[in-house]
Amino acid sequence: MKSNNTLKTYSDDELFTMLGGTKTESDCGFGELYRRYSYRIFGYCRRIIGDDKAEDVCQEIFLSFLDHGRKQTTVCNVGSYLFRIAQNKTRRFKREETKVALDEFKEELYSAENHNYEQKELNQLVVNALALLPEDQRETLALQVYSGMSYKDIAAVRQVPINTVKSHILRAKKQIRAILLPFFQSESK
Amino acid sequence: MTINTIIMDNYHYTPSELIDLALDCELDTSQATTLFELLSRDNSLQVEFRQAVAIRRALSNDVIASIPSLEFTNNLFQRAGVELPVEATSSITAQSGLKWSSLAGTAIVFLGIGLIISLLLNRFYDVQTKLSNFPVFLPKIYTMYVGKEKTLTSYNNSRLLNNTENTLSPFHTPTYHHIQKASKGTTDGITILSENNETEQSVGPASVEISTIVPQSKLKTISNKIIGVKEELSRLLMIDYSKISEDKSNTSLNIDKGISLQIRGIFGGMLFNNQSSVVPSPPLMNNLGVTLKYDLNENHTIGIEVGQESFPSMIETSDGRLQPTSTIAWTGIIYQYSLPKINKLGNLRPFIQTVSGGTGFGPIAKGIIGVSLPIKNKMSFFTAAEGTVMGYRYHSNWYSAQKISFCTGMMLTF
Repeated sequence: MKSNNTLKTYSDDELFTMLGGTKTESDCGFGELYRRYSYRIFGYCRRIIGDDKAEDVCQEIFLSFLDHGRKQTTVCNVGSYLFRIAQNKTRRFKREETKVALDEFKEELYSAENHNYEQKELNQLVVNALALLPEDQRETLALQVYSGMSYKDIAAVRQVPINTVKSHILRAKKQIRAILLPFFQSESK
Repeated sequence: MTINTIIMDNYHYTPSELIDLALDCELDTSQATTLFELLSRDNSLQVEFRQAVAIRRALSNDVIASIPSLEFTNNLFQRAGVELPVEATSSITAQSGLKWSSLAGTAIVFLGIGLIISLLLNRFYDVQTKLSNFPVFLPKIYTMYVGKEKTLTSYNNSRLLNNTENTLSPFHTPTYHHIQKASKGTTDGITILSENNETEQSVGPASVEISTIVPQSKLKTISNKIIGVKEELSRLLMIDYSKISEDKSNTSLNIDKGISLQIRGIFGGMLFNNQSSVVPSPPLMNNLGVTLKYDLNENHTIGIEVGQESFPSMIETSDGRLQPTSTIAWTGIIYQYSLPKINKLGNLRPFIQTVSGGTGFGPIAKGIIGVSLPIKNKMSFFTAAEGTVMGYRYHSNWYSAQKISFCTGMMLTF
């Protein structure tokens, strides 16, 4: 079995190719790819479908990815491909999901207005604000935040023009900023 | 003057949008230059920039906090029929910490290394001592049987020298039985006889034999020989005692025992658990340890220690969120084992030290191996390698974070 240091030098493409090799190669390749992408995929799932179901869907994503790898599906960009699977899986799951409890969030938003501005509060509120965004914007922004991909790569994953991606992300951030305005105002006081 | 929109690539962007694009690295150099020119003139835009950075940081924190649990990973790999390679999960464990069992493992490794080094240094010191101080091993105590009564009397060397002649008498033929209590190679010039007149050992130039029954006529000759033995012995003893005295001065630890205050700085840490992207700035008085020590004897020291050092970690708060922290304050008890000074290495004194204590997040253990250099009896400097393991809870499981660093400091003895 190859050492971790050796695996770290492999590109995503090389690791993906290993998935179609012997069991040892496949295990090593999958382990390293999981190490590289697990927290990003998991984070994306959490933000798109919520913490409760994120683990189940995340497992389905990686199992599907491994299956494609074993079948040696042609892939141009492994990271993008993984996120495309994630996007499809979460969309399928969302068809059954309930709406975000907007009222509950608003209550939290304004009750926290009396607190001092702290980063950890902001962390939570940004996450909640993300959940309030329109679906397209949320998915695009989540891809940008959790995958770390460029707008161009995100456009490839989502199969939309790059300007659409740019537009979604800019609108999403503008809306988050607007939602969090009370906090920033209270901080500046 | 407030700028409403800026045209770039045939699109109209507000300054706020330009900030977002800049933070996403989607602006080229000229566009970024334009943005920062605007920022330099517009205070409200600066505020927006800070807000955008804060939001971005919050999102980044959420990415880092999205590490799947080990339980989830194990389940996934089991379902996939994939053997979980421990090495391949290193970044997961590096961020969430290693299993608690590694804490014990690391402690054992450090203790083992310390023990081996101690033994090697001890052996090295013994060899040095034997090479340079061979006569040190001359016995101090002789046991002498006098006469047929076999009265057992212990003499020190001077008493032996003073009384050897007196024990000889026409009526009591003396039989000497020198028993050397704790030495080797010290019989040069001394004849040791048994009671049945058999020479047990006769070594060196001044050997003499003493019969069990000695005629009066030969007594004087024997006495002279005994005196010769005495002189030879005296010569040897004189030399040996002077060396003993000298050696004592060289080999004694020559330190003031008592209470000491030690201050050390910790630097150059190699962090296995580094999450520098989210680590806040460390506070002042960081990377310092202060120890109050009490010497049990020349080698063994115990004490208490407090300190604070860089230990970037993600700590799970009571509400279940991960919170980055840059420093850990600890307190604990120490045990130190010091080897004797090594004369040939400038009186350097090797030592190993262990610290067992606690932090606000879990237990902490340290292993320190280094050398100290006494400057005066009440002051010494030291430098050492230091390994630290801290345990903490995450997702209701115990993990540990590890660190290797160097430290240097000084110790004052009161």
